[in-house]
Amino acid sequence: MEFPLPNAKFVESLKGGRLMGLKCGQCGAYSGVPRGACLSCQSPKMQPAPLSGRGKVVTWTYVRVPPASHAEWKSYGVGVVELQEGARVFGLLQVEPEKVTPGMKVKAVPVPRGDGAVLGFVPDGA
Amino acid sequence: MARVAIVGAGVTKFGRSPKTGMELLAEASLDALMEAEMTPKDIQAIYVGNFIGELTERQAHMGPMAASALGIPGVPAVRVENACASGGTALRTAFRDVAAGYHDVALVAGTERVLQKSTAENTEYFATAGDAYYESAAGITFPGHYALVARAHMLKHGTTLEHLGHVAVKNHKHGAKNPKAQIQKEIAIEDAMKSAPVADPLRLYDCCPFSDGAAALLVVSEKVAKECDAPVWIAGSGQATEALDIADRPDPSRIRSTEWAAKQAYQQAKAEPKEIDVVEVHDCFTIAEVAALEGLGFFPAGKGGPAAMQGETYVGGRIPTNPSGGLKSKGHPIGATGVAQAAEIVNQLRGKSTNQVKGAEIGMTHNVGGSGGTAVVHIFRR
Repeated sequence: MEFPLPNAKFVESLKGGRLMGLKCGQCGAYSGVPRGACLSCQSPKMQPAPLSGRGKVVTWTYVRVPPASHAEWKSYGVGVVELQEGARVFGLLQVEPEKVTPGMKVKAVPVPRGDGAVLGFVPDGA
Repeated sequence: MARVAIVGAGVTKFGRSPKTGMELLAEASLDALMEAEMTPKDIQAIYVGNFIGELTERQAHMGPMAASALGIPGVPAVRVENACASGGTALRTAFRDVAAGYHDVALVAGTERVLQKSTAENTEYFATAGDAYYESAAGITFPGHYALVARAHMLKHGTTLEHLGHVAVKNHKHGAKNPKAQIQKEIAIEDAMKSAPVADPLRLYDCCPFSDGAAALLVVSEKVAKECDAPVWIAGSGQATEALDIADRPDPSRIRSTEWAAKQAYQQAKAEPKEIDVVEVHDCFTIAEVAALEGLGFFPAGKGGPAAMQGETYVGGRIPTNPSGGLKSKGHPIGATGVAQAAEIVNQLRGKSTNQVKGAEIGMTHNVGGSGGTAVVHIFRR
């Protein structure tokens, strides 16, 4: 059975400004992290689905000692966001560290990196 | 199930070492053999715990390398990689094979050598325990992963930075009594509170150091154990996974793999949390010790924060935790950690630890991979 949302497709879509996830064909749960079977009901009927990209901050940190792979970023926010669909995703938080609050509303943006992109979030409405 | 015991343990000094990972492994293994009054010829199988040898030493395939280093090519050998739980998983794998009757004497040896690499390089290598595509790509580090747990714990349960600082103070006080520890130095709560932020809200003193080191155990069948001095019995073993990605966890303040692995170990050992006399938990970060104390059932969910501040987790307290100094003070040579935890509990149950819990009869180890993706729990009786 083919993997429903390969990373290459996720990144290609994100680069174009569309956040993709999966929706379970059995229980309807959304998944932000692509997987072969549903976390809620274990059904393999996972279908690619566009996600709103809008949600609220669940937990976050500000990385001040970056890995060699990200040395040029120096320091940056990252966190877990719960999207309107209920799925949670992890990404960069492009907000000053002291301005982040629990439940803060954010929206997804692509952050260019190399030939691809990583998922980022900015304040919603900003 | 057949009874299985540990009859020898060896641990190198932790900290910066000019020796290779395999040289450290050989030293710890020979110490374990000497303690058990055995020779390499007695070993029937080898289980090596190692996380990132390919990245830090360009060395994989450490199973046969260990057999060669001990002069016993021929014995089956395997490396077990389960991130920071590689050592604990190697112990559990050996335990199962001996219990199943495949071998009577197994060597479990964990090793890691990382300090010849820079902090930035090691930070990148350690992050390989997370999801490369949906976590590490965005630059999250291991302190970052646990910072997400810490923030969630603070928001939900009111845990404070002072609570976390006291975990570091306690583990340094314990580690100051351990001659094998990397940082044999007591610290004050002010030192912890003032230390530089690494990944908010975690500060430098909330984090364990990078370390080189090795540890080894001889795991044997009941038949062999009965001919050895002071065998320590493996009474229960459990292992479980948590969703690897923190985004996939319904409650990021909680590490369910610890709860599930502990349940298995308690059931197999027919023991309860209140019977445990001493525990070595995986305190790679101060918040990790708090989450461990809750997940293992020593404190209700959300109530583990003040444990160290209130003195409950010191030697002499209600549940002595990390008498060795834990990862925080003793050090965290990753593949060796789960093995060294068991070595400390073996010494405790034999009454010969350098930071002895008086009269300890039942001990526990808790070894975590990543930010909880793996948890391995063992219960030991003398």
